[in-house]
Amino acid sequence: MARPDEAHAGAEAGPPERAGSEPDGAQPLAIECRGVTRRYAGVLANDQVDFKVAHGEVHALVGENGAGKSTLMKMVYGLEQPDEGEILVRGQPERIDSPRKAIALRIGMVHQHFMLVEAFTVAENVVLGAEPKRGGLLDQDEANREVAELARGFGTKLDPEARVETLAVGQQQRVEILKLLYRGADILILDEPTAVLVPQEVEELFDNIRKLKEQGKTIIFIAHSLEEVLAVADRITVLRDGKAIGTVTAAETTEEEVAEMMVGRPVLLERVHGQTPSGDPELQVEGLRMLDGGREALAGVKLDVRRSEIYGLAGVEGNGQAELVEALVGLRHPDAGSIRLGGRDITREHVRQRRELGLSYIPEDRHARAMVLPMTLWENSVLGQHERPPFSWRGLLNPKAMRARATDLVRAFRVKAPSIAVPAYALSGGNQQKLVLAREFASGPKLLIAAYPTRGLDIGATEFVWKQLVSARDAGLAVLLISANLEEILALSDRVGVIYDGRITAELDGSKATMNELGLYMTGARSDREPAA
Amino acid sequence: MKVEERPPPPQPEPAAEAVAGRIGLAEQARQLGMRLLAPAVSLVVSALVGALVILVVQRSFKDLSAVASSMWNYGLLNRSSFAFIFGRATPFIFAGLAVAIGFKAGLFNIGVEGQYAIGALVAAVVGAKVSAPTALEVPLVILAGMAGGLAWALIPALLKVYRGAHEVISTIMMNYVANGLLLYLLSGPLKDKHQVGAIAQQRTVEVHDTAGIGSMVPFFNSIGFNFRASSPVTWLFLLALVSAALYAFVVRRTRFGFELRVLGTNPRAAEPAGIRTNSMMLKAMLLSGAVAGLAGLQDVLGFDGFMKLDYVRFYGFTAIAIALIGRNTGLGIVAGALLFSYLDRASSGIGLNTDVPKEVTLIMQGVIILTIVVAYELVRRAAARRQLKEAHERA
Repeated sequence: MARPDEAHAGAEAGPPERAGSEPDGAQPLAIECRGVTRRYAGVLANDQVDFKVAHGEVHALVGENGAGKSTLMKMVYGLEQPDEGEILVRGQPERIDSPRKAIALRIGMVHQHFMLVEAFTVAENVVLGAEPKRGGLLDQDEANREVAELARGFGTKLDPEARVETLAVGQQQRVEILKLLYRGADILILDEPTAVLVPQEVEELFDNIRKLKEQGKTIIFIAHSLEEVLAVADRITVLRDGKAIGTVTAAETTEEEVAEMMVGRPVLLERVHGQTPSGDPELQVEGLRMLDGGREALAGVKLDVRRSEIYGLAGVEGNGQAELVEALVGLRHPDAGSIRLGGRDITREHVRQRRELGLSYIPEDRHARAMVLPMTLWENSVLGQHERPPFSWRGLLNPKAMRARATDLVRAFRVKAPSIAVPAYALSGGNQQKLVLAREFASGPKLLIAAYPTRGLDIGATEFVWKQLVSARDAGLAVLLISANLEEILALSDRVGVIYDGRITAELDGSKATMNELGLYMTGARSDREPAA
Repeated sequence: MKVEERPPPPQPEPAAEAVAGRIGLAEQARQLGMRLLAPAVSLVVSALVGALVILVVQRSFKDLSAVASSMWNYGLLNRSSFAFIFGRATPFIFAGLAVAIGFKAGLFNIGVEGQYAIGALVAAVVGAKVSAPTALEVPLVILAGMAGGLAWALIPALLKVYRGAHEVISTIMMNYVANGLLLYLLSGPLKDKHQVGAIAQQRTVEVHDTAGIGSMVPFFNSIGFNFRASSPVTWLFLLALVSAALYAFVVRRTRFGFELRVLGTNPRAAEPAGIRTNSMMLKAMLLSGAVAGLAGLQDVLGFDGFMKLDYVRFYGFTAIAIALIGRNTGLGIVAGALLFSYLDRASSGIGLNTDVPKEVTLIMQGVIILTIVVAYELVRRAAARRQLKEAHERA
């Protein structure tokens, strides 16, 4: 473990001579993987991967789920070892057999799931393991001072004395980055850093990344969203099925080109609006209010979703979306207001009744809410519909009908599964989501509530989910789409509502709305509606 | 919208057999082998540890062979060994099922101990007060026992559902309350004051003969066994086996069982699936208590004919181990109950026939519990790895 003083010296040692410039091979590369191969139980996770990262560049590593991005980075960070090939750090072949070794080589990694002690302060978390000491005790003031300085250095305001549990996700992520900087890392690996962030936080992160680059740091970041990649990366390397497909310069490529490299065929992610919906409202919400620990999470929500319509609900997370969905599905009771489904008041009905009346629900967190991972696919295939015939009759289950349904769903939605008798955890995230989607469509719904339906999915699976939502809409379904991804909202929605501070502050025509416009409403800078009385 | 209307997938379809989840005979045999592997390993390890303990304590191979032969001859081959094993297994099965029902719903019912004690007391009182023909009275006292157990589970169940009180704490507390209540009732209000004999026991009035549960010995002897007439096995053993079968059926093949499993495995997924989680939790806890109420009946209605003060059997705690070993399956619980019952029997044999402390079987029981958890986890991981690998290969 590098001592803090050495760490700072190290950080200052490399002036950003080559920041932003293209690599030409004259200076040794920061990281070079040569023919790296890694097998898991006979499966090639990385197949002869060549990967070059120049000093001082922001290099994005993209690819679908299971393409081998994380495996490659785990090897660079010493969490795994290559079966074949070698890894060079600053031109020297290194055997990186542990994260400890990686840190000694000034390589740091921020994982998707943060490793912070929630009850500790920012400074305590940052210095943990390499604490400045005075008389054998932690020198709190010194730690605070160093951390504040470090944070200023990359353009972020973080109170070193704030407890980590009180911080927003984006700020916690910055604490993780500070930890690496404190230990002197100048090659930073960020594993899907934007997956957990809302759009505003993504912007801040990108500012930080640019600052770090100015300081001469090398940044490798694993990403899903191509728009983000193009916004911040200098170069992009695409992995597909464990192979490196190619490296392109961000300034000279397009989203379409990279998407095609990732998927292996042209991808269409464009606006797919239907005609202006003229159907009757399927869902009508009036004056919905909900208190959440004294705070008004929903402050009089009014909205309706018509048949043959996708209603996109945009908003920064934490503005009442979660509470609204819970109220609509019946997981929590609102304190005031009414919810009507197909003209019938369901405000006080149980989830089961709502489902019987035609409500379908794709939960935000599929592992926690949509599936029972240790149970088989055929059991998961009827979850929520298990009490209806033919799956159960007079309290007895009909496993034959359940299996038949599962087989149908797996075929129709091309779920990649070895068999319907395997537990749900045996499927990849994308395939789990496909099964959930298939199940919720199969109940013959009138209203589908889809909360963040493509979160964490790769581009191929996202495309599939979008197509299914659109074809369901065309078949007459009313869809309420909740998403933090504005691209998704704009691509799919016939109408867009913006939720801000527990209210719908705007309703826009989906074919005319723009990102900027939505951004203004989402941050509360603009509002069409007076706060409800 | 119907799923069936979608166009057929252009990709080559996986083998129909694989998709339908049917598996070959060889695969079934392999899976069964995997399932038996963990208990087998655990038994072997516990036998080895037991042997080691004997060698260390007694320093003699002679004692070791004496223990082994006693466990074999007295434990299994003795004329009435199996009657003892079946009889002792009866309360173990009921209590194990009670614990398993809770586990299935994600509830840890530690209160089986108190629940069967109250169940037994209620059955004893009803059996003494009510006089009816056997065909009516026996079902009545059995139901009384279940009602007692259920009632004792009601308070923790309500606290759990409506106040969020953790069932582990509340059921443990209810055990103490049950204990205190029994002490008071048996030495006071419910004490049989007309006892004949020199020493008056702290016990209830004897139940009517019609409430007694008959010995199963004649039945066993009619099918080829040769048990002594006094061997302690009653028809409750049959009820225990039927209960285990019924439990297995309910868990696997009924909507209630399905919802129970969903609730127990992932309560957060149960809610959006329309499962009434509170009501299910309440039902599971009450059912667990009712089944627990059956565990104490054999001693009261089959053997003693009354409830007495030194009535503490610790079935409830053994039952947790049995449910664990039996992986909460009907068959597994019966097997686990028979195993523990056998070890009890073997323990008396060791005490009678050898110089080795009979507590060596307790050590074996402990080692079984410890090793089986590890063994199950190892087997589970191996199976999960294999499944993931197959998924990768086929995908």
